[in-house]
Amino acid sequence: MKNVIEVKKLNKKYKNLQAVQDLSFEVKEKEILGLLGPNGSGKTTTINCLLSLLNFDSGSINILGKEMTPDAYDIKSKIGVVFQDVAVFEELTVIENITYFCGLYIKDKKIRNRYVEEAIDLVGLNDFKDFYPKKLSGGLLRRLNIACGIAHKPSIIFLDEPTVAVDPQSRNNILEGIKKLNKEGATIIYTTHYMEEVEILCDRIIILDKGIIIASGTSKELKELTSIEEKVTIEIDDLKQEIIEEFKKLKNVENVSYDSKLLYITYKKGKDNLINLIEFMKTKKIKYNKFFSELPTLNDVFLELTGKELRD
Amino acid sequence: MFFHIFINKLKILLKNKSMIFWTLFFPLALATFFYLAFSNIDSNEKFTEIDIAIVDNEQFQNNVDFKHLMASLSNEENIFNTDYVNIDVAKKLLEDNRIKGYILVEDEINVYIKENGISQTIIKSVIDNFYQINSAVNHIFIEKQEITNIILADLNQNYFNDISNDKISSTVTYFYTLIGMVCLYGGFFGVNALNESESNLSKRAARLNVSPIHKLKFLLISLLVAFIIQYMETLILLSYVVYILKVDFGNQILPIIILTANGTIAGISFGAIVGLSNKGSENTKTGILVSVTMLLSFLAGMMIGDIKYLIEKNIPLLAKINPVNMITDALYSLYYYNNLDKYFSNLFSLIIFSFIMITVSYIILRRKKYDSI
Ligand SMILES: Nc1ncnc2c1ncn2[C@@H]1O[C@H](COP(=O)(O)OP(=O)(O)OP(=O)(O)O)[C@@H](O)[C@H]1O
Ligand SMILES: [Mg+2]
Repeated sequence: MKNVIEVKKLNKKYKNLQAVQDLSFEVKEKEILGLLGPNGSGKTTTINCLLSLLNFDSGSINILGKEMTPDAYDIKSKIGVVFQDVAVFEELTVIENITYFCGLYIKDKKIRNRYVEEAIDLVGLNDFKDFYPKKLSGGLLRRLNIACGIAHKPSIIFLDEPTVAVDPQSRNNILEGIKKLNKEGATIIYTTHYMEEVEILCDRIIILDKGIIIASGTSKELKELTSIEEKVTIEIDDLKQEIIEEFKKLKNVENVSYDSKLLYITYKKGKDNLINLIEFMKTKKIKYNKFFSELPTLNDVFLELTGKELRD
Repeated sequence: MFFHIFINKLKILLKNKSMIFWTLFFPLALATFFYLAFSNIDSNEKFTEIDIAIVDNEQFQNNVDFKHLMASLSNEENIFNTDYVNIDVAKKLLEDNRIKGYILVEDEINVYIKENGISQTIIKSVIDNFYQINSAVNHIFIEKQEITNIILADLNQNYFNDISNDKISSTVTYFYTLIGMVCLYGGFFGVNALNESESNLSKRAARLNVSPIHKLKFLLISLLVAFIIQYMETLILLSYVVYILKVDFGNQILPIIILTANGTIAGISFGAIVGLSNKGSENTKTGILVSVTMLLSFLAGMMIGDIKYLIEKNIPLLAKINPVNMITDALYSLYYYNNLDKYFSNLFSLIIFSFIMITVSYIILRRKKYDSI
């Protein structure tokens, strides 16, 4: 598959702060690329450089095989952007807002109206068409913001944290919509600091920290980077300190902690960890109520690579 | 594309309550306030009386109608400040410039003056009128008071509109500065147009700048819409002041229309500069705009008429570069002078002002990317 976006050695400084450093990556046609990183890691800065809104110090950006510049109107006509902050007109209703922004791209009125209806369908704002933005809840407002960015059916879509501060229902709706756009053929660049989202959504993930790419690949590839095999949580009513010490001595155990009736055990890579664990508890006659086992998450990957949590 | 943006801009701006309040309803309210507050002052305001003397001889005492006329023009209407003296004193007073002229009633009524001027013309015109009326109504019954009224009406019509610095109704100046102010309030739309097209100023502008619409084209459409709305509002205010409050703006409609159009352009381009001057919110900028416009209007005499003259005397440069002052002066000159020289010089200043503002804005605007947004 060909690359629709190629970024090489992108550097961007704000006064003294190096916001993005030597960033190189490409986005393949029809994929969903996730840019995952904590607050201030440079996601928005990267997107704004890609869109030629920001000056950058060095590097090159090619979109659809051409250098991206402020005057690259042919490229711009194929792009859709959903900015991190909601940017709509208070004076226009939902449908008027979408029509206005769509009209900056689509001249033909008939086609435009059809696209607007489809966008409203996609984000599920059918019942709110004639509402003014002031009357919309935060989640609905974000859906409107998305509709305004994608109604013109762009072939490349940038979404900058479109689900921040959104209720779960709206979030699902948004993620479904993005998947649908992708199925219809759009290439998508999606930034977020929610790891669950990139796992559900993205074909490929780039993890950013302090403006540097610290890892990239599919979710599976990334998880192989971590030394953790699995994490086990067991609810035990009462546990003596010496027993906790014995848990620590089990094979492949990396870390054990016990806090308000919950025992957390982290396992390094290895086999038969859970079987050994259950066997051990039987012989020690430890009674437990609940038992969960989790595979490592991207948060664990991030934690291992940077020594800090992805989420604050 | 042009129509799409044009229509939507128009809709968006007309629905912006705070903007329409400031640019339309606030000036209308201020005009009404001026009308209520100053119509009183104006009627109390004393016309600077013309000092005259009348030679108090037998003939004067016998001419009952004339005696009554002069008494009422002096005591009730305060047009003349009259001394009744003998001929020698009258001559001496005129010699010493303590009066503008004296009246000697003999077979005819004669006016003696030293130099020509508007006050002297008024004295003569009163006498002429008196003669005319007297000969015309010789045989019909006419009340003494009626003569006074006819003469007063004539004076009002012919002179009191015309005497610079004497009976200029200062109220009129307040309304002129108000028109100047409202033209400058076009700046609200100028600030908004810039905010909506510069991606370092607003998110919506960022959205515009990632679209295939050329920024300067978009800005030009926005400014056109701004002009149309603000100009309509200025004309509404002007009609309100002229036709409802009945403030006299003279009869030169076309120059007023051209002037206010240019004033509106000056206002919008001034707003553009304010919009570009800093990265604050639109509210901060309109705050700056309102304060600066109020200050300029104040300096042009909006609240205290005398300020205008103080500035013109002491800081003439400030008066020259103040666009509100340019508009006020031009309106003023249309009303008080017969030729258009002063009008054109102010109109020209206004065009230069706009040109500088637009050029500077354009230079700043050519930037396409920003270091920080
Ligand atoms: N206009 C600016 N001027 C100066 N520094 C900035 C500016 N915008 C962002 N930064 C800094 O650059 C770094 C990267 O910011 P950026 O907004 O790109 O991060 P982000 O990953 O989008 O974060 P978030 O998740 O909070 O949106 C941060 O340290 C931020 O403080
Ligand atoms: Mg961001």
